[in-house]
Amino acid sequence: MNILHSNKFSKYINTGIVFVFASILAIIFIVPMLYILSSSFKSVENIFTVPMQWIPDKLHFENFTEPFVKKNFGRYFINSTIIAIIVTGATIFFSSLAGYSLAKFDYKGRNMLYILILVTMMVPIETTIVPLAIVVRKLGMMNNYFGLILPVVLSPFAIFWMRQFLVTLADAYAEAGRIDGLGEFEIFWKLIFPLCKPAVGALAIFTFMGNWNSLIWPMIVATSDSLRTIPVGLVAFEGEFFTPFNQLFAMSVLTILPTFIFFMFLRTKLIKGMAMVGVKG
Amino acid sequence: MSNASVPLFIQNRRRMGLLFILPAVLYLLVFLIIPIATAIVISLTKYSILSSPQFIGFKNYIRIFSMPTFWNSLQVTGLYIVMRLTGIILLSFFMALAINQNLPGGSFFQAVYFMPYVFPLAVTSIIWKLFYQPFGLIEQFTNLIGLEPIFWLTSANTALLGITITTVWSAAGYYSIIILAGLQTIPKDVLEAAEIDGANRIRRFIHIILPYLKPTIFFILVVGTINSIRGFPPFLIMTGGGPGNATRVIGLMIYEYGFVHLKMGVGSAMSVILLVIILGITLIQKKILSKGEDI
Repeated sequence: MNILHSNKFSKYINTGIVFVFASILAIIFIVPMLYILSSSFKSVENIFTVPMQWIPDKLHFENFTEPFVKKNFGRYFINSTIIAIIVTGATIFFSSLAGYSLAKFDYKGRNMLYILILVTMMVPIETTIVPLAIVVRKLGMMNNYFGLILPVVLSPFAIFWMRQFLVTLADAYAEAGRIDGLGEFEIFWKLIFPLCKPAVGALAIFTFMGNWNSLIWPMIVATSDSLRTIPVGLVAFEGEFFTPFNQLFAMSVLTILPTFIFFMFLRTKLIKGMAMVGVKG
Repeated sequence: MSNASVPLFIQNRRRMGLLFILPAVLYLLVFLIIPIATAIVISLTKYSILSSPQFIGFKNYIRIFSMPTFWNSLQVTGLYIVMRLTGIILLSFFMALAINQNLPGGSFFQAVYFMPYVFPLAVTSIIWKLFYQPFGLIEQFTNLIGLEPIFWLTSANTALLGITITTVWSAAGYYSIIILAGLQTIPKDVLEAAEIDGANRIRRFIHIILPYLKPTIFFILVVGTINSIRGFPPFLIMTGGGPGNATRVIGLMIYEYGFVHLKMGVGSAMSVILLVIILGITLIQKKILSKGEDI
């Protein structure tokens, strides 16, 4: 028999070819990231020198500080952090509560509510921004934190996600609590909620990331500069006549940093959660 | 059944269940159902915020359906979806298959491919816009392989392709994880049996892997379609719909009518149309998926 047909040998060749392609693809994926990092430390003129210089002549650390002094980036970071944290906390609390109700309580209209959630889950906020803005304006929530937070404080998907998890939980936990004479809310808060960690963990990461990265809705609500979030601030910065691109890159690096750190530490969990959300969602 | 026959503690429990879901119901009502109802009502009016809405019947819809720019935007959106999904499926299948066969450094590759997905789309769009500029990163790369400089985002022929490359780069890693999850549901002995029977790589892929991944692929097609429609920030940031109308996708158009031209009536009518399209896609998905399970 020809050696090329031996199973082991052709397997090695195959792996080699796949490895080469995977590496080329990896380089295509990494180069833009290195470019951002390198440009964030350069002078403006240095960014567009031909041929491209990967290591800056001099490290311009002031790229990272000037937007905080001359622009309002400190405020943008505070706004983004406040909004992402409040929305994540509220989403987790209210969606577990609602999910628990849908999974473990019996009342009229429960199935109707569940179907409503399944249907609205498919409606992305982008398709409702025009009417949502009309409603939010009527409620007097344009250009303030309420308008930035309340319309995204929960999501049908989060409720669905928690309900799917809680349905699989044994009824015995709640029964034990009732025998011990705990009230229904105490049962939820002290017994049920701590058991939800795996589902809550994934939900928290996605909710935080989604809100930290969100652009369109904050851009519509925040008409004054002091309410802008980082993505909105970055887009406005980019739209100026003479944008200092090195500073723009530096601020982009700072924006990516929190989610990047999340990603580095929780990579396997995040990917597992993503696969679960993807397969079930 | 009268309430008297239901024990008190059960009545109490029901009341608590309703109380627990009340915040969620209020949320859905105020921020989802009322807006959708508002969209339907406003879509039948002439409304520009400055003046109060005026009922005009189906005029907005008639106007939209006779607008060449609307049909153009549907066409651009459709083309974008096809190009983006083709790119995503090709790349993410390769990524998932490579990682699934225990390539050396597999988890490193997975990390690298997935990383762009955690970047805010606004940041990705801004930096890729700079990459495409004359003397930018892309031009330095195309110079390397001997191509003439391409005016990526400023030429009507390449602008859509340029944005597609950006959004494929940003999302391929995410979809590869969904495919990987699908691949891992294929029983190992089925693949091994095929290998022993002498089925080569390509035949194994077509006859075993693809049929098993049918639900995953449909899922990717549907979610990918909806996400492509939703994700219009790259269009807003990188081209603003131009040059001409070459990249004016439907999401961007709704945004512009609602918040730039301040024509809330037309904007709402377009939202309703898009909503119907998206719900239609979802319904088709459900039908196809439930058929797929029978096989």
